[in-house]
Amino acid sequence: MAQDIGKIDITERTRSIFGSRLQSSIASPVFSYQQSLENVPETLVTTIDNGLRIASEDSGSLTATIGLWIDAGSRFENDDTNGVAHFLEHMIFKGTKRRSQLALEVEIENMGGHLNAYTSREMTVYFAKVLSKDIPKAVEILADIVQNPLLGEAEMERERGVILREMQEVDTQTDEVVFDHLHSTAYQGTNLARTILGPSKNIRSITRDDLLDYISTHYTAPRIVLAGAGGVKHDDLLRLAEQNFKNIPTASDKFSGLTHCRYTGSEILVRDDNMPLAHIAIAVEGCGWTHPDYFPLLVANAIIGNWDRSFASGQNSGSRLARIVRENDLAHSYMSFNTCYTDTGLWGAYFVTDRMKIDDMVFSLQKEWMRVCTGITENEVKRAKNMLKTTLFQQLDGSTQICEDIGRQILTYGRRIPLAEVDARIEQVTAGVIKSVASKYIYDQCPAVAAVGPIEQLPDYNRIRSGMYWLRM
Amino acid sequence: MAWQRLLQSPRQISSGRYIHQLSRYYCSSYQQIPLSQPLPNIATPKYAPTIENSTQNPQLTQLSNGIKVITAPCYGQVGYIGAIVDAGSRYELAFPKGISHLMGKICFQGSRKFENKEDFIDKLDSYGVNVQCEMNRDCAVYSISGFRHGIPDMFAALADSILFPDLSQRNVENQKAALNAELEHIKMMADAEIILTELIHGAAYGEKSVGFSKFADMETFPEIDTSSLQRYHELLYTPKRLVIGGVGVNHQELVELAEKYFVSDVPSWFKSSTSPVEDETEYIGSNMDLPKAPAGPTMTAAMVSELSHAAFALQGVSYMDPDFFSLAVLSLLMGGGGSFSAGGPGKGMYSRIYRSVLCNYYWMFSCLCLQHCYVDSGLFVINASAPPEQMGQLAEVVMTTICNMKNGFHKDEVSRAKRQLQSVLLMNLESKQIMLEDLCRQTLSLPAYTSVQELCDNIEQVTEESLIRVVDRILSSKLSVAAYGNLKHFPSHEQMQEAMTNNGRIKSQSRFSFYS
Repeated sequence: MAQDIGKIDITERTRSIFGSRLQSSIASPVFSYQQSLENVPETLVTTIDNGLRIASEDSGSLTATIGLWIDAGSRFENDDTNGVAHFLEHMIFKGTKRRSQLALEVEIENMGGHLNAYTSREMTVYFAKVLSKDIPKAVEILADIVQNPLLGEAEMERERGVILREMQEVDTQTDEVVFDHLHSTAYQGTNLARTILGPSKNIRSITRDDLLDYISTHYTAPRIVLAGAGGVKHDDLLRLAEQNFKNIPTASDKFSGLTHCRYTGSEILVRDDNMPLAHIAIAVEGCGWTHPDYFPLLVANAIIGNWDRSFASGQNSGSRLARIVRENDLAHSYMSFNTCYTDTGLWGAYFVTDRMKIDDMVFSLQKEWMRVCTGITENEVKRAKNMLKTTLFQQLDGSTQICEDIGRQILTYGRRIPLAEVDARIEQVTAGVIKSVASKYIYDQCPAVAAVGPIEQLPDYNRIRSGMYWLRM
Repeated sequence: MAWQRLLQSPRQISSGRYIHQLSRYYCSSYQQIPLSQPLPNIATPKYAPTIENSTQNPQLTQLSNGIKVITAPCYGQVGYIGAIVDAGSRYELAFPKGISHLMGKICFQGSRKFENKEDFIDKLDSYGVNVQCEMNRDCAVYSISGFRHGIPDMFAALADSILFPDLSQRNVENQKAALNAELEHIKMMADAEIILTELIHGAAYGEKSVGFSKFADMETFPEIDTSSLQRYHELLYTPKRLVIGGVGVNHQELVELAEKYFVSDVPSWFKSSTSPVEDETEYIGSNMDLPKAPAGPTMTAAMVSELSHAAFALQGVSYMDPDFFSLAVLSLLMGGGGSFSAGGPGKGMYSRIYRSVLCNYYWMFSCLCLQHCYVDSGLFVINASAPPEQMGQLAEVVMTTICNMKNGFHKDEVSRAKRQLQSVLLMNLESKQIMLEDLCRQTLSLPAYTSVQELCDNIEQVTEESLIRVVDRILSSKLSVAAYGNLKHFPSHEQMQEAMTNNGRIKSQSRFSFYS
């Protein structure tokens, strides 16, 4: 029997916001900020017998995004199988026992839909964007591709070439390369150090059994969320899930659980003076997904801000560092990031700059970090909080973005945090909280540094390390 | 142990002490509750009900001076307001070229109530606003989005920016400098689609109306000044040519705001309704080449493998035309894209250009069918890029593909294209910014608002016969061609015109053709 965990009483929902459907014209009322936080449909979550969770938000629109969010990624591989999760993502669109690759592609194209997938270190996602009336078909296709993939030998051989080509493509995207290096140094000796694509040696040697083994170990029902957004009825989705996913096993004896990944402050330098610009990431260990310090760290990110030369001239992102960088021409672009995993995370900044500006940029960035730890003002925090809320709320524009948010939150938090709570959690962050949280994660911590390009000017590690504290406050 | 402490550098000791002090800061307001659990002292969350089939008819009101206000509801915390003005580069006949581009640049850069952009951002920052001003060939789109409780302030800022922009000499010079930087950036990016779009409009319409480039030109820059901008502003920004829209905004609230800022508190010239000097749009069909790629000091993929680019156009239809939907289906049926594009099934892998061009010719870097529509004319375009030595073959392949449209269509590809067009439409409308633009554009240029359902029905009515009819119609027009990059191997316009009467095959003794 299905078990409800997220439903609240129907009578709660009788208060009409848009007016009854019987009225000829539908009006949007004037909202206060607090009221506007309630102006979204509810996310309903249900768990079926084998442990698979179904989560959806029904906006009643004519299009929808439906997807599988799976708690599996390159983190669960070892040296010999690194690359399997990503290889599988490629193979899964290459036909099933019921439909050939051609039939699958034509079916999706003929319904005007899109099928897509991505793999990260901790997550594998398969999703379809379709017209709402095609949801049953989309769920059936998703169920078919993850449960009955053909994984034909010929297709595998062909796909090896495709993935090797993709590697060349990734190699030209310097930001991806720098972040891979950053992981390899910050998490050296652990599972998070490896890349998602895996080494080319593995791409050539991965077998069909490796893929089947990966599916049977990791694609278990409690680690899968079927998420939906747009015009999707929860009850219909639940029924479809019970029809299509009931045979996914609840547990696997082969899965030994998550091993903790240790963080190591360290550096990796790839000097190439022929490159026009230096690409550098500096990070400290942040927190995991569910940690209470998650939002304070995000606010700290917003204080540091982002900047790009191609932003319209004079445009002020409100961040002090952005102003300093712009006025002194310290970088072509920079962004602050907060990458989270289950039990750890990387909090830092990535910048692209001229070879003669590296020293000044590192100095200014670290100075700003230290100011966040010691002297950040209430006004700056207020501004950053507002910026963060804007970003978080404005990005929920469209069924795919909403579905993504639902899938990720159910996997990582086990629930979808109501917007009012997100707002309350951000509101709790004051300058005092920022200072203490930043002191815990940033102040006098060993950074991980990854640098690629003409980086002769990058200060040596001990000097960067000594920029992580101040002798005088 | 004591000795461990001694081994630590004094700095670390001091920082340790510092942290100790800081931990007292931990405020009582900050609760250490993991994100997997709800905050304990928070009210039971409330939610909005689902609106079935949420493509309701928008609400429309006309103000006393003729301005139309249109709104539609949506979920979420963010409201979107905007205005569309019937201006743009097609009205530049009596003005220095590029004046529209600069006009768009000046918006939100200072007005009566705001000293400059920084001041603007400062005053509206607490609503988390995003502002946008886009100048197109046939319209200017202004929009602001931000938290809904800030709509009154946001609207006041929008109106101020549209009706009272700072056209002083100082600001004009500043924005010219900014525009220069932007033009440099566009040059550096060397986006083939953007460049080809400009060139093919020039080739198809010549130096008038929609044939004018929407980008400013360094050469005409000195002619643009405060007085010409003022003239442009007063001529085109009139109540009749303006529509105000809102998504996720209360209709009555927006009407009242519009009444206040666009009827009562307006500049004295904002009443006149002189029509602008514009020449008739006439499709001429010629060619236009930029012999050299507008190169910049960039290290892009283009440097690794040099590419040349070409666009081929036929006269399409206006969006008022009964054949509009057939042509839209046709351009999706032709489809196409990049040869290495990412993404899974659904990107149009079974469109004509994918199957008959991109799958057959390894050297074809990208090939894509597009449609440009205006109130009085339109273009049916195929853009293609390949290495320079393949440009002769490229011309033949593209023209053959165009001519082959005469041979009819399979019913599967027609129904697929119809369905894909409906889905593109519906999926685009998921974005509220696009929804706002659609509301405004439709209200400005069509007699009545066409709902999504009606649009889908219109698409549904397209048949193989109506496609054949529209193919015959566009093929009766002269071919326009635009190209840039290394064009040593690219055929002349006369050769291509002739080829169009020969099923796309170029007659030439000197060059190898694999069709002969």
